[in-house]
Amino acid sequence: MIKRALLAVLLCSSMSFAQQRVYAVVHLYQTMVVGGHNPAAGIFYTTDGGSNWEHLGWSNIIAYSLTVDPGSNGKIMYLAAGNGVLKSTDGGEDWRIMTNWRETEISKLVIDPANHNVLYIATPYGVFKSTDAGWHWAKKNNGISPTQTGTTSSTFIGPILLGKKNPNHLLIGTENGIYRSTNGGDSWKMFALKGWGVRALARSEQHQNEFIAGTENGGMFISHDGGKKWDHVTQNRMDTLAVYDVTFSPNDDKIIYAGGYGTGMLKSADGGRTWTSYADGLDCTTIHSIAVDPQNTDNIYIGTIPGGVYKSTDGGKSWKYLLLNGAQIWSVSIGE
Amino acid sequence: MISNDIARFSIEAAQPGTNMKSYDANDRGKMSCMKQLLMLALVLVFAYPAAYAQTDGHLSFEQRRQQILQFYADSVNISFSPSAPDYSRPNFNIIVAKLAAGKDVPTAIRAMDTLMANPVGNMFYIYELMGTYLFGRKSLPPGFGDKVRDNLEKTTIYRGDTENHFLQYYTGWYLAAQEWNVPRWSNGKTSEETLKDAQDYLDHWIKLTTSLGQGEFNSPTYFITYIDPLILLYQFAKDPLMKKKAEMMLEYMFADYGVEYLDGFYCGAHSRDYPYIAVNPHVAQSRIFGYLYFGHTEFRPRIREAISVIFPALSSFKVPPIIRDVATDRSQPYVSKQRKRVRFIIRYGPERTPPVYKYTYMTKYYCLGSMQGGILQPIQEHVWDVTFASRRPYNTVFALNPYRSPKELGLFFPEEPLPIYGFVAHSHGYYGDVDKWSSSSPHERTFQHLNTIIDLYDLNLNPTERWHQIDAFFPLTLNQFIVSESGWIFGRMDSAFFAYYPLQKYRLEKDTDSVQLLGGDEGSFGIGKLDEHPIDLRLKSFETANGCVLQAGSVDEYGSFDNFMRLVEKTKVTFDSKKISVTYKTINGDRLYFRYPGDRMLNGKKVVLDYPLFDSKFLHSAVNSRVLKITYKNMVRTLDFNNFTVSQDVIQ
Repeated sequence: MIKRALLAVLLCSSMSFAQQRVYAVVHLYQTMVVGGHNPAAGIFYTTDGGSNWEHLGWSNIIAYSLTVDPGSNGKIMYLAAGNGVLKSTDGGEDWRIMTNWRETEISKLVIDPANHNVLYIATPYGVFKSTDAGWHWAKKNNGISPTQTGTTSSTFIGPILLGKKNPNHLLIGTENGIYRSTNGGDSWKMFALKGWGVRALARSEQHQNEFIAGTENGGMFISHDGGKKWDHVTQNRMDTLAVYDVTFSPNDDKIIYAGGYGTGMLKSADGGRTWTSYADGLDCTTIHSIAVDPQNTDNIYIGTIPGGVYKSTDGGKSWKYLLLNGAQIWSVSIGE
Repeated sequence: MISNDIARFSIEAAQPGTNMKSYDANDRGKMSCMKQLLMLALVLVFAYPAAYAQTDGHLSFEQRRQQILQFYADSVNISFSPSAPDYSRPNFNIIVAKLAAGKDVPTAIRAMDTLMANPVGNMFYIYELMGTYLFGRKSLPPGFGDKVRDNLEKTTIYRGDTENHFLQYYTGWYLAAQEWNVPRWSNGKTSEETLKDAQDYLDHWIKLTTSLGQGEFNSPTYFITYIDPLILLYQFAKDPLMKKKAEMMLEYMFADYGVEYLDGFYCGAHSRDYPYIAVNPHVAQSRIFGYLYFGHTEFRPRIREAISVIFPALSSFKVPPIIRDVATDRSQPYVSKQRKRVRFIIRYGPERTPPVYKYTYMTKYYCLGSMQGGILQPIQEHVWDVTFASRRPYNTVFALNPYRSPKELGLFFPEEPLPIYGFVAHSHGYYGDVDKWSSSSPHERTFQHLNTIIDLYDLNLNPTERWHQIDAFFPLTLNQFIVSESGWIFGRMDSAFFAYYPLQKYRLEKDTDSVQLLGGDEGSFGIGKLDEHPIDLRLKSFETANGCVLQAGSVDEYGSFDNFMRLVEKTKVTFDSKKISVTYKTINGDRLYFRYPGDRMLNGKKVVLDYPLFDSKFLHSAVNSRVLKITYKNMVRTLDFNNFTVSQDVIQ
């Protein structure tokens, strides 16, 4: 009986590993010429840990990130792109533009875990929300519009974090700090880090009061009290770094990864107190996106600019080049 | 032999590795070689490219249309060889010229098939494909429309990220969606949805432009990218109202062009300009559109992208005579004030699209035009110049601060400011070059009154910014070029003059950098290469508080160049480098005071930059009025974009 159960677990685990997809979204190639024939951009994915990759969907698009609707078995996908939000309901074979001219240069789409029809998108012009799975969109800039804040930076949206307990509680990272909404985006108030260009924002899975923010102009900030107080990471002049992505290791929030402009892989094993930069095997040290495999947290994928995709199997200490050198990999993600 | 002295200086200065002579504007008496006026009658450094400079004579509009179409249909042999030069490879514009002329039709059809078999899939592709199909369909075989439709059902289209990209993208989809009722285009939408999207954007763009002005305004390069889509909408929109809107926007754009038009040159400040056009207005793409619609200039079909004139030449759209009059009557000087918009600022700025204030002084022989300075568009801004009405190439003088910074890019582009620099440098190689001739700078501000401009800089740069210098462009094609010990630098091109007063010490050298930067290729047709020799004298100045005063003039105003110089020499420029301010009494007697960045006084009165969209003797439009009045003599033509009506009346 125990042997049978173990076999089932192993089978399950190996099946899920086999079906696990790693996505890399190519924003553009460094050699891109507007109006010319350019190499394929958009979505690439692998199902074998990075040995083989396939392209999915549009190849001639300025793409930013991919969001796969959890529970859709990889069928429902949203691509955040220059053209707007593209949606596929068949695993990426066919796509439809869900937006019009008003929603452009979409960098990120977030799905409300409580209601998958509720979507938020981050744009350089603010937050837009859909309540019908992308068919209609409403601008949600009350409290962050330039006429209210005195700066267009407040509508330049980067990360969007939904509350774990209450998804109507949102945090957005903007070029003017972090704003908070407690009503599903209907209104926003300054929350933290005013004046800092917040490019990345992550919350611990284990401890909801643990946050880390990466900024364009000041490195990283860490909060242990739900965002009331933020500690500036100043070690080795890290407070001057441009940091594009930060993430807690899924099973241990003492381990934090971060990457940015010329940083290599920054890793902390003590909750952000001390940091080490790893670049062994990295030909390109500008990291724009980090994805840690929840099934094996030593497996990490990164998207670099403009150096392609790399993988580490030792928790970020050394790296192996996978593909797409010359491409700006805006995001990497692991999904169904 | 005074002339020889300055000539020797110029030649010596051009030798690599030699010490450049610095002229200290504050210490001029020490230079023995500058004890008297030094004059150089510069010889043309290269012969005119006569092979492609053909005069228009006095052809009618219809004759010019036919001339253009005939030229392109006859002159280009389409080649499918990978080694063929760019101009002869399959190209929608040449294809449609041949289809319309009935020349080489089988080859043109094959070329169209070739382009559709390997589609680029962007905004340029979709509107050019649709335009070529619609203009050329009478020569296309039955069923070819189905191929075009099928192609757009499969070919995904990148929308681009600029104002002109969006207009092209939505025009292309508008035309496709009205042509065929398709359940699913490559965008995943039906024809009905696609048409609605396109119409929505086109209405938005028209409303924004006529309310607050264009963001990508008055560009000799990009002007054509607005005209072509509007021509297609005018010609092929089935909805009479959309056709009317397109016609009115064409008139609006040509009136805007016309008021800054001087013998084919798009004068004044430009939102965007490639360096090779900034230094040589002769090769601006807009010029052949001026030839078609206004005449009054040369037929130069081989300049880069001139083939974009083929759609307009095929269209039945005509510019109303009153706009042609506005563009060509230079019998009296006039001032044109305009308000445009800054390209959408997505971060780092207090407003999304602040106003741009343009000031243009137009005369028969030259035009001096400017905008207030600062970063109003990334990468390709052209803040001010004086353009001479001359057939001599490089007929312009201007100055700039060659500038680049991550923040400049971050203001307008959503990518990360630091790494995007590499991408921009790839697309616009000159962006990262200190010797570039197109640049926006947050450290520059201007104050213009009539034929005088004060151009001030505060080059107090932060560590992420480049470069700590200003450059001025003086073409070697000037008839005369004189450096006076008074501090003024004088020049004459035909009947127009300028006097340039550097506010700080500088060096002047024959410029060996421009040619390389400009790419050396003027034309898509491989004819008219830029000269391989230097084309200009480049002034460089490195002081932090910096700038110049430029006074323009002509024989009409001052009788002769000698008299102009004499009058200018009598004026006095007072520069306070601590305040970065200038006090100057012009040769016309006006007292100007300008303190960086924005304190402007004229004859003791504060000057507030708050212009309407158009304000001149020819054009009037109030902000948010959505009404443009075009006035010429006793006629006024009113374009009312509130109800899309046009009226023309005699003024009593």
